[in-house]
Amino acid sequence: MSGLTITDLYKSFGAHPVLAGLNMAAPAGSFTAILGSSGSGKTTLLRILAGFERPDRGTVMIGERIVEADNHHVRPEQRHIGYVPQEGSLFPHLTVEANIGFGLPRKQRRQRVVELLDLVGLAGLERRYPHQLSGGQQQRVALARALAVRPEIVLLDEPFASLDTHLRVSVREEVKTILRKAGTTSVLVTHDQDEALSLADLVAVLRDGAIAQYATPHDIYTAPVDDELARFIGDANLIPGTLDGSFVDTPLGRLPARWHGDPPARPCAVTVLLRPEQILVHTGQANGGLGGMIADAGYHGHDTVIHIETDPTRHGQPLVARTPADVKLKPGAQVTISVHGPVHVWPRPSREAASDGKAADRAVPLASGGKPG
Amino acid sequence: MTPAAIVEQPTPRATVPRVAARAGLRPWVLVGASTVVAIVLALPLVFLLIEAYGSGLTTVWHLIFRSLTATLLWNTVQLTAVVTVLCAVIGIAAAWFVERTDLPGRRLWGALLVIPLAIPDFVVSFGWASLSTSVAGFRGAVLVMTLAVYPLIYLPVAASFRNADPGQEEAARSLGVGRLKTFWRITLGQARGAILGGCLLVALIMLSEYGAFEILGYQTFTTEIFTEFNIAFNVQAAAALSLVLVALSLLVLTGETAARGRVRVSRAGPLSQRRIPPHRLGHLTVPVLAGFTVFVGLTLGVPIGASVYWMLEGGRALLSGVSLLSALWHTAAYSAPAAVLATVMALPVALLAIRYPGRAHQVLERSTYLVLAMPSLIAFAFSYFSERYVNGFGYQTAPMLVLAYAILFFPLALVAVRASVAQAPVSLEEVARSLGRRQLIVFCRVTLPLLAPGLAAAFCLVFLSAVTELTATLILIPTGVQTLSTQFWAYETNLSYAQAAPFALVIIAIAAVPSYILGRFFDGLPSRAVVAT
Repeated sequence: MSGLTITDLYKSFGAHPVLAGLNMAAPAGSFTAILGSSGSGKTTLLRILAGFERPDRGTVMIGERIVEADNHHVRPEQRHIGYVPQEGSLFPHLTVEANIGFGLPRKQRRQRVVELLDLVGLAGLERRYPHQLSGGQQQRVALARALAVRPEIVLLDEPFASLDTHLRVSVREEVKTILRKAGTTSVLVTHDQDEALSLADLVAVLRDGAIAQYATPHDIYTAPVDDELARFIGDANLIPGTLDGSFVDTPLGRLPARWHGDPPARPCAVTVLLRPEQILVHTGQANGGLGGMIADAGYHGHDTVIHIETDPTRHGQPLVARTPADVKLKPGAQVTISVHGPVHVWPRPSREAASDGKAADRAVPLASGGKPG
Repeated sequence: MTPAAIVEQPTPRATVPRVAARAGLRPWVLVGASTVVAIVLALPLVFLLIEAYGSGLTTVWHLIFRSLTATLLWNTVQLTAVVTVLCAVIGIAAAWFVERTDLPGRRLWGALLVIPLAIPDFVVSFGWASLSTSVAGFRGAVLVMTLAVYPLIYLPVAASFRNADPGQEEAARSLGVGRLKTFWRITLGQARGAILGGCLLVALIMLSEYGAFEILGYQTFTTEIFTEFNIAFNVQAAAALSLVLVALSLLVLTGETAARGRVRVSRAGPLSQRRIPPHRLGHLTVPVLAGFTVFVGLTLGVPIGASVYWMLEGGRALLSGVSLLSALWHTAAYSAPAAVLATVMALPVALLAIRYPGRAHQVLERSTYLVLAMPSLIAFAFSYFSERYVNGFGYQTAPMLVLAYAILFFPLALVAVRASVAQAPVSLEEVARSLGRRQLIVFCRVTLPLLAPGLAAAFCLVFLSAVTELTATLILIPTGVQTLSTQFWAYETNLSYAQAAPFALVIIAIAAVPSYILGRFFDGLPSRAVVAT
């Protein structure tokens, strides 16, 4: 099992920079999701890792082996990687068996193919051709083919993008289980935050050609490095506050705070992140909380997302909250809001502070995103 | 950057990585191979320039600017224009009825409409001319050539109609656009690339045809060049006229490129299996069926019927089984290697054009179409080079004829190969390499099998064309040997119709198989693979 280390990676197409000093170190055996919007360069990154594309600058190491550096390029066929492209890309002229055995020496082929068909739960389909398989089955065969050669790293390029919504969730779970069983270091790129958070051990957010944050899904969600990232991952309420010791004073009251880096010595202005789940909504007037009125309520089955207009004299910003679906709330109803749990804060203006630190730190997964107050 | 921007970042060059893929064979291998092919293809033009330079500018000037040139120019241009337009109208109409209406027996009609591809133009011409002496001159040429070459437009247009996005027509209708306007603005618009591609082929064939016009007594540049070179042995005049022919072909090619403009045949989403509901013909069914019957009677009935008639007329005594078998053998022995050679030559050019697209590659690819228009020029170039530089070595030998065929029909091979290269995703080759396979093995085990249908189609297309080729064959055929077409020609020019007829029928019979396979191949392709540049 090998880790993956990427150092100072640069790549541009013409005048358009795609990767600009990207650093990342994925521990051996981990499952990392690289999350980025379309056009953020995540596929380019994956293709550089696979060796299909050469970077302008930077090094890539698989375990202790340098596979990409200045004047040094290990060809794709010598990298010991497994690559699962979008849409699986099975060889249409070969059977399932021949697809999985493609990269194997003749002697091992039969036995290894049986093992892998068992692993992905497709025993008995050896003689089928790709067009005779469902979309989910095709993805599993593509994964088996990549794992067959016992790669040091598996790279997955948006492998679920072409599947139907209902199929996507189940295939995702299967792939997660298979990769866990195989124990290989895996890197998946996706634009789907839900996919990244639910699937991977570690999430790396790709932004402006570099990794903005590399942490566990929990830390990415609850302690993003800046407000922009907070809005990129899920819904976010950003409100002003004043940090004082380990508490922050906000229009919604005095809340326990957590932050990245050293604690500020004296009270300072901060931006406070409130996830919609942290906002508790009580019907009617109650003591201690902030009053508001429901502007809109969207029913999602598993929960209800409500937009709340707050008292303009005290706060004024509309808030988004998520409540269990069975809470009946109609637009126009008066409610009281309180906050549950510690909140994440950034000193204002947070964007500059974040970009100062960005290039200097190598993105390594943080054990914990800041200190709870 | 605002938070919204990170979500909705523009995707300026998102497609670039795919295009610049380092998969399959490395570009320099492709560039090298393609350059060799380009040089071989350019040989005829080099010959032409050397010859023109050798005879001096004033001589060339005098040879070009005479009344004969004006006559030939007018004859060639008016015929090309009229036949191309007629073929387009017939091809589009036939394709629309077969693909878009509930015409009974659509599959059968579809097959019957393609068969004329297997009948050489000079056999069609012979069929008509042997029945009536009034089929001659300009009108005769228009009639014969239209009936002979319209499938070149029918085939791609039918494929385009079949694969077009039905949503676009439905959207137009829902926006209140009438049926006729929808056809004009949407249906034809979607097929524009296919129509223009077909018209280009028809026009180039009109410029290059020799046999059919000779029988009909219609004089064009190609018939005159052939006469000057092969009968009058006037190389200077032939070269001077060829210069004009090359210019004319260039004009056709640029005209087509310009008209094509930025054709974009796009579909929303992946190819859906949804069929477009056919238009109901209703009370028009019977007249349309009658029209199709008459048309097929004219295209197939006349040439085949005339050949059968003359064969029966001659009786058994005239039929020489030995010469027929010998001609059949030589035809196959020249055509098959030529088909292999042309296919092999097309492979690197197609890979380069699709996998590493760029302006230069595109121009290179499209300019190869020029050779289609100049079979006689290619043949002369070969005989000239052989006599001038290698003391006649190779002249009128089998390898030279095979090479000439391969050059002449290279563009056809390219069309078929590029269509399947466009269909074969690069990602498959990348996956194969990531699995630890070397480039050459990936090429053999993944790329070639994926391209197999296209390679087979290219083989068929070139084989079919070489079997029915006459002009270059007459010049380059080894002495004392006859192919089906030259033997047919020898009998035909002696007016020995009864002896010529069996050769015509054998040509049709052996050309029918590859044209059937071709029909199936192009049926299975999305139209954009065929027409996209």
